[in-house]
Amino acid sequence: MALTPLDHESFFHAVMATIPSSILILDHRLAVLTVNHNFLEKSRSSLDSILGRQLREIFPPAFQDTSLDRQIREVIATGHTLRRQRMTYRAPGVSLRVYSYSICPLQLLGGSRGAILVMDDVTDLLQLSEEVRRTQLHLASIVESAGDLIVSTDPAGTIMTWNAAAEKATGHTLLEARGSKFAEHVEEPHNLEVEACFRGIAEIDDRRSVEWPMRCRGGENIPVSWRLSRMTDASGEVTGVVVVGRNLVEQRAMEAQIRQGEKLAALGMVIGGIAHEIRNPLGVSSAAAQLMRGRIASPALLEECIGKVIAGIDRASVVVESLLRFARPGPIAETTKVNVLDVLKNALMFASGEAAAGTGVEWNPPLAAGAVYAEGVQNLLELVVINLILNAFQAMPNGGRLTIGAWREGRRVVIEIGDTGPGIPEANLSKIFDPFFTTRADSRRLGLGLSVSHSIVRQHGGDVTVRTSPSTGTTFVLLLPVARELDAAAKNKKAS
Amino acid sequence: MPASDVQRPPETILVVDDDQDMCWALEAALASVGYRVETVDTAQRAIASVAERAFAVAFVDARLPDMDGLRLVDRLRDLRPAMRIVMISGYYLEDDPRISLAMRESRIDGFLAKPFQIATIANAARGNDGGNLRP
Repeated sequence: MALTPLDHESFFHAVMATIPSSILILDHRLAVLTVNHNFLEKSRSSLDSILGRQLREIFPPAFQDTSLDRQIREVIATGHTLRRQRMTYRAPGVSLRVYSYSICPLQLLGGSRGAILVMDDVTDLLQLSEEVRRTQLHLASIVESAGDLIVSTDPAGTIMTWNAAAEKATGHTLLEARGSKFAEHVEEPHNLEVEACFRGIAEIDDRRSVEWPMRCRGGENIPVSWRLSRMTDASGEVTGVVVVGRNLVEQRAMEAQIRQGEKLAALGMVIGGIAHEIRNPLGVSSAAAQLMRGRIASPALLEECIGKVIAGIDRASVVVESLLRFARPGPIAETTKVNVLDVLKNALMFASGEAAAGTGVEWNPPLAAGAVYAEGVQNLLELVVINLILNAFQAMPNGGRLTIGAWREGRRVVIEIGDTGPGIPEANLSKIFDPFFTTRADSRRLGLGLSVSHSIVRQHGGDVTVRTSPSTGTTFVLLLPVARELDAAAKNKKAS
Repeated sequence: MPASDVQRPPETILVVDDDQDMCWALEAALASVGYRVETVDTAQRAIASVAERAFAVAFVDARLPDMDGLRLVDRLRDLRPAMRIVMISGYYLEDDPRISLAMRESRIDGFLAKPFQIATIANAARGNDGGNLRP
């Protein structure tokens, strides 16, 4: 330091007067040589009352439990500076003050040694930093105690912090997660969405949540609903991203439980429907048989009773068979050449009991048009057609016209079953082949007929489609493979 | 056929069931013990028939295409408080809480589960079943 142009004494006084610390200069016997203005002000004393006094005399008794005397002696003896010590000042009626002090050795005129004691009141500073620390702790504990996963990343998506909920949910500690990319913790292929999100960081919309399954330590993943928000500094620059995730595991478990409950309730409805569907024909058969036991005189009624007994048992059997085919959809064993017109006639005969009064039947093309042969299993195809005809009859509770037809189109046999009912509403069209779907609010019908028919036709390598409109009614179109021998014959013909 | 039935003028019974065969069975069973029977297949038609004329008894299916059977029962009760009403169902069991409650509240006078005995039907029609119509 080039102090040459300075008047040292005036510089000394200037420093002593302006420095915001309390300064004492002591000789080797710890007598006060001088003090600065700040000290006088703080100790509310005058220079005259202090100069030449021993340190212990001028300090209030509250300071005396500190080893200040000894420390100053040591500094003078060793010549080593003692820095940033701390002492507290307790006095009755005054709140606790804390001082930070340093002691530095001094060479005095005449060869003797002394020391300079510089003291700063750091009470307010300490209080402030304690408050800052407490606020930080509080904020940290909010993040740590949160049930949601809270992750912070830099603008590139590298994890900076990771709270306890994130540790608990994934099994990865903060130490393991820090420095890794957030995208790496998200299950494929969603990790690509995460990467895209960080690439377009400016477009992040914190009002929208996204579901990305999160990878856990054991390799499994958990459903988490995430919300991303940008962190910005005072100038608006993006400094990072806060990613808050809600662990959906428990919510999903609850939803599954509700679904299970709904399923059981639905199953109850279905079982009720089954009971009704079977007990009705049982009731009819039983009543008819009881009437026969009563030795009915009228031969016509006797004949009718026998018919009802057999029809009732058949009806119950169709219900049970549909149930079994639904429960155990096995592959088709052996197909044969099936006369489709026989199938249609048998099914119509079987289902005709369900037709409302005023229902007519029209064959289109007419029955006389000739036999049509498909490849399949006769009784299964009969079940399909029975279900379609029953469906058609149910669509016409006040009568109407049932249209039945079958013809060959190349390698396919087409069967059409049409009704003149009200048609199927657009909203239901996608559901009609679902098992247990029924438009009957009272669940009288099982809702298995179309579902089972559909699966049987598919097993045949065929298809079912539907045409429907409110004005013309509904027509189901079955496509079945043509009988194999005919198909082969056609091919041979082509080849030759 | 018991002599007492013959001496009475034939009463008419209303059967409400949308299953044609079930209507046939009930009609045949009731006719065999001397009743005349009118059958309808919807709740609306049942209400219309009951509004038009008095029936001694109504057999009402628990599940109808246009209305729940128990609701129809209440409508019929409003129209003809004195008419006996017997619920008949393939859907409920006789100890179903809804049925027991309806019996206790006298909304229905009897309940029959399908399939049924003709003798039980006859008893239900006569009203000498003591409220317990187990087949």
